[in-house]
Amino acid sequence: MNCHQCHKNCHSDQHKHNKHIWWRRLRKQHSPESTLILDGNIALVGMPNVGKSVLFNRLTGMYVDVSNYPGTTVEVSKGIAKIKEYQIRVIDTPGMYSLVPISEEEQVARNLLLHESLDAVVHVVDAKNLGRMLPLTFQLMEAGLSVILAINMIDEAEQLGLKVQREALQLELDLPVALMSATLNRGIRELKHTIIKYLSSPSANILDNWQMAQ
Amino acid sequence: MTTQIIYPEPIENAIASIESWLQNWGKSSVLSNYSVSKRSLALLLLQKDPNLWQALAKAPQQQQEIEILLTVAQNQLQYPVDIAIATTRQQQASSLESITIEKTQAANNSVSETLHRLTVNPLTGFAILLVILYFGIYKFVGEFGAGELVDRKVKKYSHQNLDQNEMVLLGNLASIYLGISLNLVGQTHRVIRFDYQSN
Repeated sequence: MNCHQCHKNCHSDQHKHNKHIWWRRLRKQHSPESTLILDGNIALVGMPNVGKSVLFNRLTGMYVDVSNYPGTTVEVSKGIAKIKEYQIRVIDTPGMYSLVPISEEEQVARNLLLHESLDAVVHVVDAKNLGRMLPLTFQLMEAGLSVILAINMIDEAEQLGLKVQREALQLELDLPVALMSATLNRGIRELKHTIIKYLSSPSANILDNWQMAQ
Repeated sequence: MTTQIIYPEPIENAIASIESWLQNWGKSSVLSNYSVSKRSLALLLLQKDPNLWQALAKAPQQQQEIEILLTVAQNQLQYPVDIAIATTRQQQASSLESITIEKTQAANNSVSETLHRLTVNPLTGFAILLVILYFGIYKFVGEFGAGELVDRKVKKYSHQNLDQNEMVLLGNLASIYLGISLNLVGQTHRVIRFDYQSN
């Protein structure tokens, strides 16, 4: 079995970021067995090299190969994100530029979007190149998918003097927008909160719910 | 901005026709197993999505009907339909970016940023590389590590009668000196690399 298919949290890297993991384990042992299980399916999609796999690692605690060049993820990885009492299946997809596939990896990601039953799609974008990334957001919205826009690498954008107006963007797009930096573990909690709010009340006005969560 | 992108009129007309076509065919359409919106399917068909057209090839009548709708749209446009669709999306994205991204003063150039700029520039980068090769490898590892330090040890033990094992140990000692020197160079390289990646 490959490392990324293993559900055990054995990778040493995550321990650095889970300072209170021993406490979490202790709490987990004492928590009641009958936790509320939300059968939510979410997929992380986006162009290559925007940080989908880092976010997958952050959400699930599972390790998948991450590198500093595009096209590292060539197959779909699945994991479980435990957010509060919820368990959500997270699917990491290979990078795709458009819904019309050119490469085999794009084909894999596209098939997943078109055939899998997904409760939400987290579109991970690079804050530095928002204009280049948004056409895929439009396509996901046109496909009728429930999209959460996760704007990653916000720290790098700030260094370049680019400030993303989150409120304006979510009003324009009419979907929840989360600002984050997956490598710095920044904004992950807010994103998790957004996902939970999104999945727990799919029929309600998602944007209102999201704003109430802030 | 609206939540839906409005494409040029011929494309919008073609989308509407394909949507109603999909509606009419219903479950008997070869594309009925796709769980995305009809608008999205219509746009994929107009962009000549290979998978959808492959599926359509199984039903020649349906394929022909879609081809007619595509040709009608294409005849009214100056550019290929897929280019027109991509251009419309990109224009919308650029305009959205311009109103939602505020450009402020870039962060002050830190030391790492300056180093990054110097090392990625071909002119200064190669000069830095040559300096590192000369001082780091040739001078430090070669002359200092393998030359000076090893010589010192060899001179120290040269007047003694060493047996074979002691000679091997001395050789190893020289290797350790070299190793330390190389390690120092390696650490320097790692620091520079980390600095580059963090940018």
